[in-house]
Amino acid sequence: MELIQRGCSFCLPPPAKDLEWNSQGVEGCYRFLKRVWRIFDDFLSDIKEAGSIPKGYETSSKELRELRRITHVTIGRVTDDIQTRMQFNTAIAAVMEFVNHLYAFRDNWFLKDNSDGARAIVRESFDTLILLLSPFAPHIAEEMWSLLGHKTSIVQVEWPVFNKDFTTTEKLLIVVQLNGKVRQRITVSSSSSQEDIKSLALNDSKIKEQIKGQEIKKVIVVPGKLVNIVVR
Amino acid sequence: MPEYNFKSIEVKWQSYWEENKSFKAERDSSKKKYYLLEMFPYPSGRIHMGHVRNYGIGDAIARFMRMKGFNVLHPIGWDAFGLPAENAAIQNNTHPAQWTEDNIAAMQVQLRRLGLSYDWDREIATCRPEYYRWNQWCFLKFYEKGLVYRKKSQVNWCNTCNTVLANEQVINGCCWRCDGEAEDRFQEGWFFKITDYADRLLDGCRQLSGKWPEQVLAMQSNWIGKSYGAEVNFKIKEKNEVIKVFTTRPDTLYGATFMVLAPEHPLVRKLSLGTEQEIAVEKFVNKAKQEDKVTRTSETGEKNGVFTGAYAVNPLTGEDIPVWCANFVLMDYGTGAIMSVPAHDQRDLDFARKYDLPVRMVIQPVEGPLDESNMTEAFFANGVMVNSGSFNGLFSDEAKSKVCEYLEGAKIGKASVNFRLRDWGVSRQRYWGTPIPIIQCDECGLIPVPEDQLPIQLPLDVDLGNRGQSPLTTLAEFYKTQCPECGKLARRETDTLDTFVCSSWYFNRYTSPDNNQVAFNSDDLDYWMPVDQYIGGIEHAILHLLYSRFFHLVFKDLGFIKSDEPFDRLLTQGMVIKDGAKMSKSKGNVVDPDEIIQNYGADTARLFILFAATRERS
Repeated sequence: MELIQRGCSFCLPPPAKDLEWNSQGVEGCYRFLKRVWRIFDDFLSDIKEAGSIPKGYETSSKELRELRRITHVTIGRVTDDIQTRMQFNTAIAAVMEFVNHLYAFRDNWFLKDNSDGARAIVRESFDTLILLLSPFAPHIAEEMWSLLGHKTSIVQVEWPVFNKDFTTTEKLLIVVQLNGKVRQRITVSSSSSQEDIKSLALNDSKIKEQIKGQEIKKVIVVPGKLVNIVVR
Repeated sequence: MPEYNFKSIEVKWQSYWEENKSFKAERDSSKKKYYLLEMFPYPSGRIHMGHVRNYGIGDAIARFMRMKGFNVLHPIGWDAFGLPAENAAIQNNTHPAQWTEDNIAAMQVQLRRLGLSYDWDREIATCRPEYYRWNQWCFLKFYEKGLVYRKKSQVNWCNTCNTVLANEQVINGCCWRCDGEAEDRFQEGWFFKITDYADRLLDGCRQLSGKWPEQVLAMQSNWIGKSYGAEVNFKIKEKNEVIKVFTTRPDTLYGATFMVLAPEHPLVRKLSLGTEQEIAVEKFVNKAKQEDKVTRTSETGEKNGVFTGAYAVNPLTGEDIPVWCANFVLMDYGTGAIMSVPAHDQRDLDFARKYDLPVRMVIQPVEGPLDESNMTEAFFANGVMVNSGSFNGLFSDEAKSKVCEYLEGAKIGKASVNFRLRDWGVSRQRYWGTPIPIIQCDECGLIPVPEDQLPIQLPLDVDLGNRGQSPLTTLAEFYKTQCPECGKLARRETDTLDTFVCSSWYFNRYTSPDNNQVAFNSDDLDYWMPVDQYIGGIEHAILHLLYSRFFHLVFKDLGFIKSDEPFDRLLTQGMVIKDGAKMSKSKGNVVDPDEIIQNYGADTARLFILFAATRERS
C-alpha cells in the first residue's frame, strides 16, 4: 500500500527523532485500518468456528505453509521491534506487510480448501494479526477479537509466541538435465525465482564441466521440478 | 458485517476497560513487575500532538508488556502547580485552583478518548493537599538531613514572571518559561544542597550508560561539570589580601602574567581604593554588570577590562603581576577570579594583545618552539615545560601533579576539583505552589513546622490582585502564626516551592497514592520502584531528570528506597513538526488531536503518531 511504497526512509527513524506531521499519513493509516477490517470481514464467517491447529498437522498446500511462515516471521519482527529496539514504525510496517500478504493469499486461495486444518491455519493468522496490532490500535483489535468469538478481552491474552520452525523456507529438489538427460540434482529454496534456479543450475560445478566449450541454445525451467539445458 | 465504525467501537471498548478496571495494577509478588511511566502533563487544558506521541509510545509498550505476562503499573497524574495557572486566573478572573481542576477534567476526557491503558485509580494532582502535604514532608526530611539552607545570594530573576529562577531554568540568559531576559538580583531564599551529591550524580551517569540516551547523560555530565586542577593562592602586594583561583592547568602557572577578577568580585573595589584607577574601575564595574552573562562569556562577545591598580605575586615566579577586572569572568563559576596565561589560553591571549600585557611561553610543542612575541594563536596542547624553574624539561601533563605537590608543600595551594553545578534555589515568590513549611520566630529563628501540623494549606480564599505579588505576603491569616518552640507570635514563610520539587518524586507516590499515613509505603516502593521505562521530552534532560535523580539518592540515604536510580531506562521522543517548525500556537501550525480523533478515530491517531515519518533533529 501507499505508505509502504514510500520506501525505507519512512520506516527507519526511532521515537527519539522529530516527527514530521503530514495529513496524507493520517489518511493512509485510516485506510489501512479499513483494509484490515475488510479482509477480516472476508474471512470471518469461515474461520469463526475454527479450532486450533492440531499438533503435528501437515498440509500439502503451499499457500497455507507460506501463510504460516509469514505469520511467524511477522511475530518475530514485531516482537523484536517493540521489545529490543522500541522501533514502532518498523513494527507497524511489518503488520502492514502481513495484511498485504493476507490479501494476496485471499486472491489465490479463497475457499480452495475448507478442511478444519486449513481453517485453523487461517484462523491462527488472524488471531495473530489482531494481537500484533493491539498495542497500537487497541480498540479495533478488541472488536475483531470479540467478533472471532473470544470471551476474554485482549488485555488478558498472551502475546503470540514466535516459533522459528515455521519460518524456514522450504527446500525443493530440482533435476538438472542436459539435452533431456538427467545429469545433476540441486536443492533450491521454495521462494527462489526462475532466474535464481536457472543461474544455480548453470553455475553448478558438475554442469559447468559438462557444458564447457558448447553453445547454450536454450534453458527451460519447469518451476519446482527441473531445469533442462539445451546445448550444441 | 457493517463498515469499520471507529466511533462506536472506540466508545464501546473504552467503557468496557473502564467498567472492568482492566488496567488496575496490584502488587503481586508472584509476578514480575513492569513500571512504565510517561512524564506527567501540566494541565494546560488541552492535549496536543506531543502528548499523543508521548502517551501513544508509552501505551504501546504498556500493552505489550502486559501481554508478555508482566504486572504492569501505568499511572497518570497532573503536574498541577505553577505560574500559567496563576496568570490564566488573573486574565480570566477565576481562581488558579478552579482553572486547574477544570483543565484536569477536560484533559481526562481527552486522554480517555485515546484509549490509554492507565490505572486511573492512582491519579494524582500535585496541587491537592493530599499530595503537597508530602511535598512539605520531603522538604522537612531534607531539612533534618542538613540539605536545606537559607541564604542571601545573587539569583536569577525573571521580570515577566516576577519570580526567582533556578540556574537550570535560565536558558541562554532567558527564562525557560516565558523567554524573557533573566536578570541578577540579590535576594534571600531557600536552597537544596544538590552540590553535596555532585559526584554521585556523575557516577550514576556512567551507570546509566546504554540505558539512557547518551545525549541526555552528556548534558547532565556537562552541567555537573567536574574538572580536575589546582586551587592556587595569589597574595596581593602591599595589601593583606589573598585571591584564590581554580585552574585546570597548574602546569601553566609559570606563565601566569596577570590576573582577572569578575566585575562582581567583592575585592575589585577594595583593590582599586585609593589608587588612580579607582574611578575607572567603578565606571567599568557598573557598565559590565549591565551586560548579560551570555554575551559576556560568548566567544564572539567583546572582551573588555580595566586595570585595578593592584598587583598580585605569582607564587612560583615571585614576579609582580597586574590584577585586572574584565567582563568575561563570572562570579558564579569557580572563584570569580582567574590567573591568565596568555601563551596557553586563547581568550587570555586576545585580552593580553588588546591591553598590551606580557606573554610568556612555558610549554613548547615537541615539534619545535613557538615565538611568543608574535603568536596570535595560543598553544593549549601538551608539550615540554620551559621557563618553569625546576620543572623544565618535564612533559606538561606529568608536570600537573608535580606542580600540585609543590603547591601543597609550600602551603600556597593544592590539587582540587571544581564543579559547575550550583545548589538548587527552590524559593518562588509566587502564590500557586507548595507553601514552604518553615516558621520565622524573632526569638527562636527559623523553625521547621512539626510534621503533625502538615499540610500547611495554601489558602484558597485570596485575591490575586496585582499581578506579580504573591497574596501570601499580605494575608495575615496565613502568615501570622505561633512559634512551635516558644509559642510567641511568629511569621510563616510566604515563599512557595519551585514546582520542580513536586515532580522530583511523584513517581514514588504512584505506588501508594491514597496512603494518608506516609508519603509512600515501603512494601509498595520496594515492589514497584524503580520505574522500568520512563518516557518524555529531551527538554527535561537537565531540569527534571537531574532533580529526580538527586531526590532519589537522598531518599536512598534516608533509607526510604533501595535502588540507586529512579528511572532504569529512558526514552526521549522528538518533537512533532509541521511545515518545518515545532507545532505551537504562536506559529499557527497546530493540529488538534481531538479533530483527528473525531474524523478518523483514536486508533488511527495512535497508529499514525507511531508510524509517521520522522526527521533528524538539526
